[in-house]
Amino acid sequence: MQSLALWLRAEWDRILGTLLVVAGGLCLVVTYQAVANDRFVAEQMADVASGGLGGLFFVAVGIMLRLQADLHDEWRKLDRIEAALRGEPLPDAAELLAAARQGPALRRAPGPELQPALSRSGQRGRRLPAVLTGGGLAVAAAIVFLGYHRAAGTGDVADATGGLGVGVAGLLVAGAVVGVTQLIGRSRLAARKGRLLAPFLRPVPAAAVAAAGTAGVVLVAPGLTRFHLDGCPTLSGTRATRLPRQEVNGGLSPCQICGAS
Amino acid sequence: MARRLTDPTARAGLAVTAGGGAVLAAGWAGLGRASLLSEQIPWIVSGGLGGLALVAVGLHLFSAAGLAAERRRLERVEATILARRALTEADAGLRASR
Repeated sequence: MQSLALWLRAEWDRILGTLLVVAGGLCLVVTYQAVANDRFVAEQMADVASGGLGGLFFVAVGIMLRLQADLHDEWRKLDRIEAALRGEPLPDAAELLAAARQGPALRRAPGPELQPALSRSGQRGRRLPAVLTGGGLAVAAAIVFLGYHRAAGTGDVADATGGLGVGVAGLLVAGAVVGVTQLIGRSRLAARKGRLLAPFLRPVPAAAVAAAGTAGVVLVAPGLTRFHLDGCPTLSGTRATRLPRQEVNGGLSPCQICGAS
Repeated sequence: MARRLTDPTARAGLAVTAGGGAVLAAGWAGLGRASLLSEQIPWIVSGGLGGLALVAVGLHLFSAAGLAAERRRLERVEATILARRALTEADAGLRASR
């Protein structure tokens, strides 16, 4: 039970996102049924403005929450990598879980060894997109509701169509908010990744590659763009194949971590 | 792109996106056959909005597969850095003991 509570707290954004996507799909199904049974066009317009656009709004927000959860995971992974590069102690998953189970007092004041490395930079990276997203989506929801209100309060088809148009505008605002926050989140991640991992990604000069010995056996793995020496930790979890160095695809470059050449 | 297609989530994403496209096309065809506005609106909801929702979910799945692959890559990088750190520390320990 405690594990379920921990899981819910850790994955709330992904769970809420999934629920919103499902709720949005259900809204669309119910709206279709209602629209098919309505006898007047103005009533149909009101149903589309509420259930149809509302359903799409839920789907958009749900997808955004799930994507944000993925970006947060990646940001936390970069926190760990940065801490590892600085030689700081990394929080152990078992210790963190034990601390979380001991109650809120310890959760509020964890010891320094349990605090995620460089959490300040992590918080900074997450705060701006969250504020932009919350404000933007609130405005979009208000516009969608305004459209529904206008479409539902009239028996006139022209007025109802106008209300539907306002609702569609609200939905477009929601789509723009989701797109912009994703772009901001991804570009911040890419920038941080570049800063952190640039030393590992520096290309090897062609002359050095040519000068390096061609004898020996190296390892390649599907999905990896570099070839490696036996025991290279970057191969963990991959299905690596041994190859004579001469037979390695020319598109692959040597791994700078294990020093393959 | 081709590398990402080996991922089942990415393939599911493409399938759902294609399904959404098919639903949009079916909605378009149904809309063309309906002569009254009251008959056209159900097609707009099922084919238009439903198709859009499917396309959005499919694109999300495809994008999520890319992010998951990136996380796996970062996990390998972290393992590499930790392994190097352990080696360096062991080396330093050996030198100190000599």
